Amino acid sequence: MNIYRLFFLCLLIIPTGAEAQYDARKLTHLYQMTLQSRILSERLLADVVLSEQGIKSNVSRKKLLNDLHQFQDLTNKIIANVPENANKLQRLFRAWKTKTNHWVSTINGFLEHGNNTQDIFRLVNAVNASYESLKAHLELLLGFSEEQLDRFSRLVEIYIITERSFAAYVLQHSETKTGYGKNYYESAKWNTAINALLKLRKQVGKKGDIRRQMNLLLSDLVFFKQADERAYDPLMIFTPFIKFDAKYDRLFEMIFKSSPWI
Amino acid sequence: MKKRIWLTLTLLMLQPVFSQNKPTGNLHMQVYESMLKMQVASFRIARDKLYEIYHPDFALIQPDLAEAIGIFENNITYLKQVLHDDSYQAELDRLTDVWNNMRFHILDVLNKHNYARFYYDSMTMDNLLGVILNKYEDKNGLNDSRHLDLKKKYTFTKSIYLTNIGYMTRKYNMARSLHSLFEQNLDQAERLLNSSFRKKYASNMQTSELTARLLNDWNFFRYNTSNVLFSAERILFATANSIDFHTQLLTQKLLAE
Repeated sequence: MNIYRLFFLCLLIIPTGAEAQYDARKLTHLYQMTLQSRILSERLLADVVLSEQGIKSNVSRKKLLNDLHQFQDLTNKIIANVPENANKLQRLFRAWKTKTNHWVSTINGFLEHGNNTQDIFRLVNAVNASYESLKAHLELLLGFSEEQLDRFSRLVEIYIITERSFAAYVLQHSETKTGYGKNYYESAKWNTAINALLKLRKQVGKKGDIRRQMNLLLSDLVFFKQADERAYDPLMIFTPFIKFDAKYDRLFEMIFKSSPWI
Repeated sequence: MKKRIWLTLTLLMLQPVFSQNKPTGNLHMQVYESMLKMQVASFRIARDKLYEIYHPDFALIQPDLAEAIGIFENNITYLKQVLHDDSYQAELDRLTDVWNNMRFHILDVLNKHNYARFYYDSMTMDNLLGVILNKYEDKNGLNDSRHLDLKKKYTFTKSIYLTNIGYMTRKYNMARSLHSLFEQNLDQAERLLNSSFRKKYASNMQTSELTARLLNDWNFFRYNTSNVLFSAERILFATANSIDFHTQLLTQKLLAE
């Protein structure tokens, strides 16, 4: 009787045990790319607002196209990197990819006809919800501590708030009333972004290049905040805002590369 | 013999790795030009902030200021990408720090009492860029006529913006230390125009049309600096921009040749 029980127990344990054996380094890389996809999706939304409002229309359209290609490449790379033996992960990522594809085609429609903005802001919620559930599962598999999770979420939060604040600032100055993003973006929250960056600097930016990079971002955020508070035209900070992306991406890479806590 | 062949082959294979990020030929010119552009932009910003005090016309000044800020942001990023040599690192870091500090004051509402400090920030930026430029010239032996000509053109545009600053400070009797900028730079601009543009480019078929436009701008600018019939401030602002634009076109044409 005992042998039978042992046999059935083994049947139950083996598949679970096999699924739990992933390469931690590869899984961390997958996690990094997943966070990047969230950052890029927020960047795309801000690009759509800039294009829709016609701010330096040539530059913003070109930027939207570039970022869209980058986003598509990244999503393909992510899907190729999901471990094959992880059923739940596979399922979650497939669901995310389906929603992402749908969303991307809406943005393509916007690029071609310029009239799908409402759909873009509606569909992104589904993409984000899907992202949240797969991120939570990934974090569970990676077994990060509370402190580590806090750092990662802060890193992403800084970018999301900055993009949303800039978009809100642009829409606030806009003369057109067709900004569908007006429902999506509440108001600029520069202080929240600045405080989050200061906290992250305390945690991981004590010295070296990371601190310097964080100071660059901090100076950008203060500059944006000043421009917004003093009611300058968003055109004034357009180029620094575009350059902010590259600075942030560099910080993101630096943190993942040099973190002793991964 | 075998050893020598292997050594040669290894060196040949490694050559692209070593020469990957080294600016060469036209790239030298681009790096050089981006520094000069930033030097001009630093005084353009100073000019715009001065106009903002007496002519707070946002539609006139903000796009101009935005363009000058854009020149800085784009070129700082570019210089950081291209100048990998460690010997530039300290200066580039300092340049970023000064620019970040200057950026905070760009959005300040200045007045006749605190304007001079802002102007001296621009001058610091110009000096710092001058240091990097000299280093770059020395390291790469850039003392041929093409580079000198380019430098002259940007010095000319810089003088035009400085003339604007001198004119305004004299007119509104503010920042006494800046009054002399007017005559000094007007003379310098005229000298450069005569020695470089009039002699070299007016007779060249490729550049004669653009040079004629530039000379036209200059005559109008010169006349309005001594116009006593009506306020010429806005005209000087717009003509300075037009001179800058035509000089840029001329530079592009000459570089493309």
